[in-house]
Amino acid sequence: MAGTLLQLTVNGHPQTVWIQDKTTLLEVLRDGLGFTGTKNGCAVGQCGTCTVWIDGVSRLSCITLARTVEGRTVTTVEGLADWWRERHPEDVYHPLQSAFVAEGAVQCGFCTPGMTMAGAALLQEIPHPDREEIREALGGHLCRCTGYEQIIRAVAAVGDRGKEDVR
Amino acid sequence: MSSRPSFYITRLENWVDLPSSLGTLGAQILAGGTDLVPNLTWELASPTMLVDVMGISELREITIDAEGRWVIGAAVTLSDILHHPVLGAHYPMLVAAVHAVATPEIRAQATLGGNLCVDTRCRFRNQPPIWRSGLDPCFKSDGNRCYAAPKSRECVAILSSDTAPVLIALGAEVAVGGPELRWVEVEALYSGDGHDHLTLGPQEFVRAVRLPRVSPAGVFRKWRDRATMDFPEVDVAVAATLDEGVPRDIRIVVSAVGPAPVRISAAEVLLDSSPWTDAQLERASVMAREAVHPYDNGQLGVIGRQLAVRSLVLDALTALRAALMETGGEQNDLGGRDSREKGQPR
Repeated sequence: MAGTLLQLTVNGHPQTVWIQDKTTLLEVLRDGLGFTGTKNGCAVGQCGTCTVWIDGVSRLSCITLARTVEGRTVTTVEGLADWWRERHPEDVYHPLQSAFVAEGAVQCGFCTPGMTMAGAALLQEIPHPDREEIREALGGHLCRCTGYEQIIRAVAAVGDRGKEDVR
Repeated sequence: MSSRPSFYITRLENWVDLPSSLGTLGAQILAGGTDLVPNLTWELASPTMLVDVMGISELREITIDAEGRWVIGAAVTLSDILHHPVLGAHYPMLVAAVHAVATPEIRAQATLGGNLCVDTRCRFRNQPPIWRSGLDPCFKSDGNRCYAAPKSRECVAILSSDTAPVLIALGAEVAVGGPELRWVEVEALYSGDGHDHLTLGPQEFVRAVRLPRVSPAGVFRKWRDRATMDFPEVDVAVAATLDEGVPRDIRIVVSAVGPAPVRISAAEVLLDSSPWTDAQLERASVMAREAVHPYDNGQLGVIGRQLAVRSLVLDALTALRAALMETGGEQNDLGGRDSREKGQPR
């Protein structure tokens, strides 16, 4: 078995994990480090619920081999609120998390971690996205409760705040 | 934990070391991994060593060579191409194809070389292991049968690269690295056998893609089940250059209907020698439909894909005609070679 020590930063904290070369980032996060907020839906890059940020970019952890993120910074849904609070100490949650609640964008909740990470990444890049931009950004995310409309509304609601850019 | 087979990962920082690493038995390139890792998870690939090329800086550069041609490194990600400040303005058809690949998350990771070399797919093979356990192995799984085409003597799995047909239509070339560097047309990269669909030697790899100095006008169309994420059921790329009001270097490429993209030569000749009337474009689209033979290995059935070939080719050629006329065509119908040579009005 090809094994190695992997060092990476997850949600602001340095972590060292013993992994095999065949281990995916999703397996490291869920099975190695206990960040089970990141979900394992299809395991082959077709559903989007394993989405995390790698160095701030939205990526699928199920099709990312852990060895390839050596030394990188990973943010999971557990770290999203902390990441936001560092920039906006007055808030408790990322505004998109609050908007998901306000808009009823959560049913079973399985797609929610991926949807929020992708939506928050979009709001970083485009603070006031239009509907098409939201649909494009969430295009790789399946919601089998079919609650897409509320999810799109939640992202749009944050974009519509207008007071400040969501960065 | 998946039952993914075990392998070693070797990370390279210099492409000079790549041929010898690839010479190792069971070695395979790991770039973005967006196709390879799912295949590993579903036990569709069993390399003993993965050679990670994402640390090789030469493979990650977009440059312009001495003759003014854009050269895109094989490990440049698709989102790097989309976000490039200039490339999109020069090669809009390439950007359209790149944008049609998968989803933003996958494009942030997937590479141009990986998209060109993406493994062929078939609905009888690209399934979880438990699904496949009900079938004897097919050609692609080192068996001796094809479920999609029972009379076929070789694998007919589909090439799903969206960039391949576009790069062929553009007349792009690929730098094949290895013991010796060689430049080949993109078309020459594909063998036509779905089991072993690339013509690369065991120590060879795609190093870069070189685009023509001036892009021809081009149109790309992709047909798939959903408007996002899905692999193509049919891809069409058409391109031509206007020369004194006459379309030249016409290329009509249909892809995702077999293991290799198909040039529709008869339709190219037709449109090279006659005016681009509605009727001629219609004829060209019928020729395209007759030239390709999709099997029942996609998601949307044989007849649907055949009809889509005709419809997409017609749509793409109509859009191309409009684009050409905007840049220099004088009349409603663009003239062909014959009309110009015979001095007829265009």
